[in-house]
Formats: sequence, structure tokens, C-alpha cells
Amino acid sequence: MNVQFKKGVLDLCVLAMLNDNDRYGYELASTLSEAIMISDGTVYPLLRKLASDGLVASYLQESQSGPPRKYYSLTSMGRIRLQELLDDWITFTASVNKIVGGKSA
Amino acid sequence: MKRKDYINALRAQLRRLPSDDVEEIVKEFDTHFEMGVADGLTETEIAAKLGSPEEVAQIYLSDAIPDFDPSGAQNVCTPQMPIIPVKTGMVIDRGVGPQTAAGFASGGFAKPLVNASPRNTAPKPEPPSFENAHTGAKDKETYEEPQPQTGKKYDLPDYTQYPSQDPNTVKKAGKEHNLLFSVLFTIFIFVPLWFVALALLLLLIGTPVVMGLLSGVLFTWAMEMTAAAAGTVCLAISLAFGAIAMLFVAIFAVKGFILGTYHYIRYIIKINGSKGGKA
Repeated sequence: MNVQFKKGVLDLCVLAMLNDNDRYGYELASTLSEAIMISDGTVYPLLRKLASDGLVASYLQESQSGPPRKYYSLTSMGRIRLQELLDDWITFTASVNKIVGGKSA
Repeated sequence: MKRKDYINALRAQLRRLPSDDVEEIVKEFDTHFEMGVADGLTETEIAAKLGSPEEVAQIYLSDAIPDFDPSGAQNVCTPQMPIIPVKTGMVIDRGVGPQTAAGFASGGFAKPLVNASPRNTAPKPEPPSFENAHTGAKDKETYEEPQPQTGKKYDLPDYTQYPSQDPNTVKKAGKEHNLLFSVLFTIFIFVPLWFVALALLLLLIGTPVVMGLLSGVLFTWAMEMTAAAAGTVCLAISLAFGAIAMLFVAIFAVKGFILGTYHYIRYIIKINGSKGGKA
């Protein structure tokens, strides 16, 4: 898949995943890297960026096994941003599908 | 790449960020390794999945340092961000955020990271093709080729041009050169000096003996003294010289010699770590 496509939708994916549940970095990284073939390492800088923009918040929580996990959660600003991105995404994919969808489907 | 190598490489790449931030980032990657191992992966596999430390560090740097990548890669998640101040007459609404399908593609999708090199002092201007697609033809007229930026506005010191000032580089180089320095200094300066000092010491101790012998010969031959009288005088002179000489030798020379050698060896051992001493 095109690299720019992936990078563009990565924050949408992260925000969407956090909308369901609070998640820790490893969980987000391994899920996303499997789903859209990105390097695990790109997720952490993105989380940091989202945190500095106030879209996500983080907290540490002890786990039964291994080190304490750094959980990320969506802030209210993050929720708004997710909605915006989602709307954009739907509009965008709908427009693209209108052009390419008929032929390929 | 092993966990330790990966973490070290990442830390080195991030050195331009404040150290608190670096530690926070490094800790997160360390935890990632730990969880990956718990997941049954090897350290090498985890590192491969993470992507190279250089690549990862570049994303952090481009996010943290304004002007790092003026192409708009950092605007992905900032809807309220005003228009980026571009030096020339460019009219581009990159910062406003994706409102249209085309806007989503241009503003919403980040630039490929390969271009976001921290060493790139003159970032390549992005042609305004995509933006003009929806902002109209007049942009083409107002668009001027952006000049390469010369003045950087980094808050943190940029050691790219002065690597010798970089504490990280200096520290590393220092460690590597300690052993070489020790060996060379010991062979060419310390050992010759040591022998000179030893020779002087012997001379100091030997002087009374030589002086005694010389004076004995002198007195017997020149002043026609009896051997017994000359012998007595010689002994007296020898003792006088000897006493003075031994006083100096005992107090200063021996003390200095021993202490000097001791401190030198201790310093050499210290700068080479406990095992690498060159005595």
C-alpha cells in the first residue's frame, strides 16, 4: 500500500482504536502494524504528537505480567478530531470510490 | 539489531531533544521490547518490526523542532493551526486542514519520511501542484520558488556543523582515545622522564661517594698529606656532602619519585576503567 496513504490514515486509525477502549502503546503498535503494514516504530511518535496536541492523554497502569503499561485514552478534543477525520475519510473514500469503484468492483 | 543496540542508537539519534523527553521516548521503546519478548518474539524480530532507529528518530525530531520540515508533515493532526508562514508569496492552505477530498489528500496525508532528514539544511521546496488543484490558477502566478532556509530557529544547540562541540561525540571519542593516549604518553613521556629522575636520584646519592674519592686523590697528590690524614679529610667531606645530599634525597626526591609514579599509575588506571591500566 502507498506509504502516504498509510501515514495519512494512521492518526485516524489510532484515534478510532482509542475511541473503543483505552489502549497501551504496544497493543496499538502491533495491531496497526499488522493491519496496515506500517513499522511499529511509527506509532509511538504519533502517540506523542497526539498527546502534545491534546488529542490523547496517557496514564501508567500496573499489569499482572511485565512492566507497568502506559495507557492512552481519547480526550474530548480527540473525540472531536476523530469525528472530523472520520467525516473527511468517508467523503474522500466515497469520492474516490465513485471514480474507481465502478470499474474495479 | 539487539534491544540494547537499538535503544542506544535511538538515544543517540534523539540527542537534540531535551534529555527528559529522550528518556521518556526510550523508556517506551524499552517497554515495547519487553512486551514483544513476552509475546514470544526475539529482540531482532522486534527491532525489525519497529523500523530503523534513524527512521523513528526522524519522526520525533520533525515533530519537535519547528522548521524541521516545512512541507507540512506536522500539520496532520492540528486543525486549528494557522497558515504556515512561508517566506515567499505562496498561498497555500495546508495548515487549515482537510475540508475537501483534495484537501484531505494534501493536508491530511503526511509527507514521506525519507525527505525529513535533520541534516537537510536546505529542504527541497514542494511544488504547489496539489494545492493549486483546488485553490485556483492565481496561486501559480503568486508562487515563487522558496529560497533554501539558512537561519535555523532550533531552541536546542545544533551540533551538525560543529561535531567537536557535541558532548555526545566528545565523550565517546574521549573513551576511545584513552587507551591510545595512555600507551603513547607512557612510552614517550612517562618512561623517559622516569629514567631521568632515577638517574638524578642515583647521581645525588653517588655524588658524595665520587666527591670523597676525588678529594682523597687530590689531597694525597697535591698537598702531600699522609694517606691517613687524607683519608680523614675525605671521610669528613664525604659525610658533609652525603648528609646534605641525603637530606634532599630523603625528603624531596624519594617522596616525589614514589608519589609521582603512584599517582601516574592510578590516573592511567582510572581513565581506562579498572581493568585497562597501563602500569
